[in-house]
Amino acid sequence: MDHRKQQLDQIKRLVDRVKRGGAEQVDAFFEWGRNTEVSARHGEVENLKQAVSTGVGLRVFREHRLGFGYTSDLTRAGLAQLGERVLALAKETAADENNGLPAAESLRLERAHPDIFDPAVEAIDNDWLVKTAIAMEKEALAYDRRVKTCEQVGAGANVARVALINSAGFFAEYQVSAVWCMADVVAEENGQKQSNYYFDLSTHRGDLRDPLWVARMGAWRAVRMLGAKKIPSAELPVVFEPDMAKGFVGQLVSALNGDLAYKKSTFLVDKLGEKIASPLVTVVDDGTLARRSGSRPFDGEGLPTRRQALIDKGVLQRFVYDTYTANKAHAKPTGMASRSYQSLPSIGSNNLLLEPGATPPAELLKGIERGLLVTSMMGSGVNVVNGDYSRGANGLLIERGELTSPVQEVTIGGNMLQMLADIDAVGSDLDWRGSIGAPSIRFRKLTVSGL
Amino acid sequence: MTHELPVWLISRREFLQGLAAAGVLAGLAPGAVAEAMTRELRFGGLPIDEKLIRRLLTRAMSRGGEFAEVYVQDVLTDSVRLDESKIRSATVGAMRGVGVRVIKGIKVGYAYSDDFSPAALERTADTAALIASGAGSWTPHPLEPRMAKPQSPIRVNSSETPVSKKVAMLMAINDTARSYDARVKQVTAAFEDATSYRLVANTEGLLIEDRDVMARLAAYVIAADAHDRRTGFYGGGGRVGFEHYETFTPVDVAKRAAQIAVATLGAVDAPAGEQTVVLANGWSGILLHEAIGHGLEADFIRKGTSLYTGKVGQKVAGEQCTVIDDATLPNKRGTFNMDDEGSAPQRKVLIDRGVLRGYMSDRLNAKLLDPAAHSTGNGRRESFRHMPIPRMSNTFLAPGTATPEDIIKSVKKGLYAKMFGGGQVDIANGNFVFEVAEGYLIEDGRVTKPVKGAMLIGVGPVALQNVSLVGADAALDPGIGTCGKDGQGVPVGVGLPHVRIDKITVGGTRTA
Repeated sequence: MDHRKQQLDQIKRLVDRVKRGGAEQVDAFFEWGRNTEVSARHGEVENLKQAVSTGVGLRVFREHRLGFGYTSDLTRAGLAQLGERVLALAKETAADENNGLPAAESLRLERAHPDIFDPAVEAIDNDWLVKTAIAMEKEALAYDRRVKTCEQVGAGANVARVALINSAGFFAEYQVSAVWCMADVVAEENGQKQSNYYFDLSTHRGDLRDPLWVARMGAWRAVRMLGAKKIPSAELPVVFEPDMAKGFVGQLVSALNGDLAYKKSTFLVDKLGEKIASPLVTVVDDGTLARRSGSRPFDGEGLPTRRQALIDKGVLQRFVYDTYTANKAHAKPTGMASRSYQSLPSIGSNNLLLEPGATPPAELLKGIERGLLVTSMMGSGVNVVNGDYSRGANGLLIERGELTSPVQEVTIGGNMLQMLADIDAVGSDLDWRGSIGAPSIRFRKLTVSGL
Repeated sequence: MTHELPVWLISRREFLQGLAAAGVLAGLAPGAVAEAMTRELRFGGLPIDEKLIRRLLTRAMSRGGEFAEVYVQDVLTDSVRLDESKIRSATVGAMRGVGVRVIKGIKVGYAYSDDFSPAALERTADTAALIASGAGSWTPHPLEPRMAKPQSPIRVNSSETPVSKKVAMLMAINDTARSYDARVKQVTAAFEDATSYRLVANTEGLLIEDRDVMARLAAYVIAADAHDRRTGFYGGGGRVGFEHYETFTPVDVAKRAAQIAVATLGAVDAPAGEQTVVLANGWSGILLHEAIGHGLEADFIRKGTSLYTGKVGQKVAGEQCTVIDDATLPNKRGTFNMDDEGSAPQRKVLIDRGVLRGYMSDRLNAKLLDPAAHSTGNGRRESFRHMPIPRMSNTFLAPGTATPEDIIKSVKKGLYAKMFGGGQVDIANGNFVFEVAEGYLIEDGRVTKPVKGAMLIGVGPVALQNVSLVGADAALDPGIGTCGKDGQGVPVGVGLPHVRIDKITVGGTRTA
């Protein structure tokens, strides 16, 4: 800890020195992290990986020009070199009045930090991770005789400390913890292999679900895909499992990027305040929640996080801005800037939540004569500029309201704007592992391409 | 360092491309030539020496490990980015560290440190040693230092090129793309380069060092008219010096990106379902990369999770398919002077006229599959923060005899896929996808209307059986690809001549 204090003092001095060296504004983003992960195979530890690492990113504004650099070398010489290079680099970029740190008065952190650090996670030792990983592998293999092997089964614990220091006198830090376990399981029958996985992740040790249950989920998800076949191409009602809905929410929010909106480069341009989705769709960003891995007291620029609706009952409430794009578009920053020490702040999100609906998941299937439940997807065929959507999919066929046979080697396609309008049911089965929470969702119809 | 989900939980075996791809690229700020010179020195000018390395190996073996390795890396990156006709940002990065690996049977202990103090490095070696439990010792061999043999001639290191020259290239892209057509509305461009030093030492007496450079130039264009908005992406580079851009010019890059965006305005819905598809040459090699490449990586074989497990000597593709992985091609993005275990790069015929000949391996998986076998020089890692795993280098299909014109003419009704986006594969069932970023209908042997972006989906061996015509126009991609696996991104090359696939599912948005 003392060592880290020394490092922070050094970084504070670096910020001062760079400012004296000719920069109007400077900020530094410091990260310290400790990660341990263990995987198991054949009843033994397969991999044990452990490390402590640190780094600092330095952002410099000089006559409204932006320079950025980072280093993992926190020696005196390493930091001095970083400062010199970034100062020199800031002469090479274009002057832009919109560049700069957030306004000083917007940086006040009035709220208590969200509870996202658990000393019990920091205390997790290798023995617990080893025992957990070995027990999970055994559980997955014992689930069904058709489970033959695992691609990867393991558990891990991470602790990170983040500090932001800027030349306007801002200094704040927080710590965050995460414990996780996952099982990626392979089942085999009649010469066909199928794999699938399941995981859990939480900031607090007590919130982590039973790793053996997670292992069984991974095994169940692989086994139920055995015998999967391609189906004929058709327009069908499609249901996304919560994990798939989470992916859709993430892609949707990337289309709310204020920079893309300003440059008319998102399919949602000019739609602020308009109905862009079914009234069943409400999406919220919230960085203030206790025990959620996307929470943090301040964003990558030091702005306090908050809870804000992005889409409310289908109506687009706001685009997402960092300070630069907000200045450019005459909007307000939304406190959602992502940052690591190796990158400039960029428009991102904290915790995203697609509000659950009232329909129990089994009810979502009712009334579907023939449709598809999507359980995994491949490829990133989503273009937020025009909303084109085309992704590889695996899943289960829905016939007369019931799940019947597994399906593979098909794609689902459409346009995101139409897809948003076509959401005709939202499940009550909210699933929230990691930083996105979502329930199952049903689309009235999508193009399924197969035979 | 991430406190979010470990990346490998989310993106498995994904092939990325584009400005946002995970490529670690770039170099020094101008004026730092003096420092670049010192990097020619032994141990990259880092605070390490042979004695310290031997001490780390000894400690790593202290609990009964069978093999230990020290990996040292120092990467300097820089990038310049243009947006809205202005140089938006310039970045320099320095990342250095040491990874220590200990192997016992299938068990691997790995630890790393970005702190080079001897005490921190010794702690790192002790942590990696924990994988073995017991007593052990290693009698230090003399290590015989040598340099890896350079595969790629470089005239001018981009890291030592003034930023103003990179800025000029980006401005040329901006001007060219915007004057290409009035419908070009947005242009983003970036130039990135990297200079890296690596050292690998192990308990078998290896101590090898390498210096390597990379560069990449890319342009992203948005075109729009009253009804439609389309995107175009193009770029390239590899293990190249700055002189590469005298022939692979910013003007050409800009024109191609603009052309894709403008030509696809007014694109129609792609027809959904199985059809005949012609792939243009070059970046289409992503088909091979996904359909078969990953499935031939030795870790998936050793774990029995790949559908190609136990199939050496069997027919897994059509007679016309010969697939090669070659890490020795000068200046290509997937090329390297040594892999990340210090093994020499190799050229391997993976599939010879349809018959599977062998897998791509690192040291660990080669030995677990056959104790007498050696690595094929495919043990790669993203950085010192990662264990090496089997990865592809430049993977491509040997040329056939058909002309592109004849291949297109042979199709009555189908799809011509000219430029591609990313792809992904499911190792167990062999399902793979890759995205067509620029595609056209083929009607009566002629290329006609553009179609909206669509995924192609298939199963590896079936797709390769369905390749019926192979062109003579073999080509590698221009050097833009980064492959992701287990959360590690590494630069790769892919290649394919024009091919005809008789039947593959097109993920369209219009059903017949």
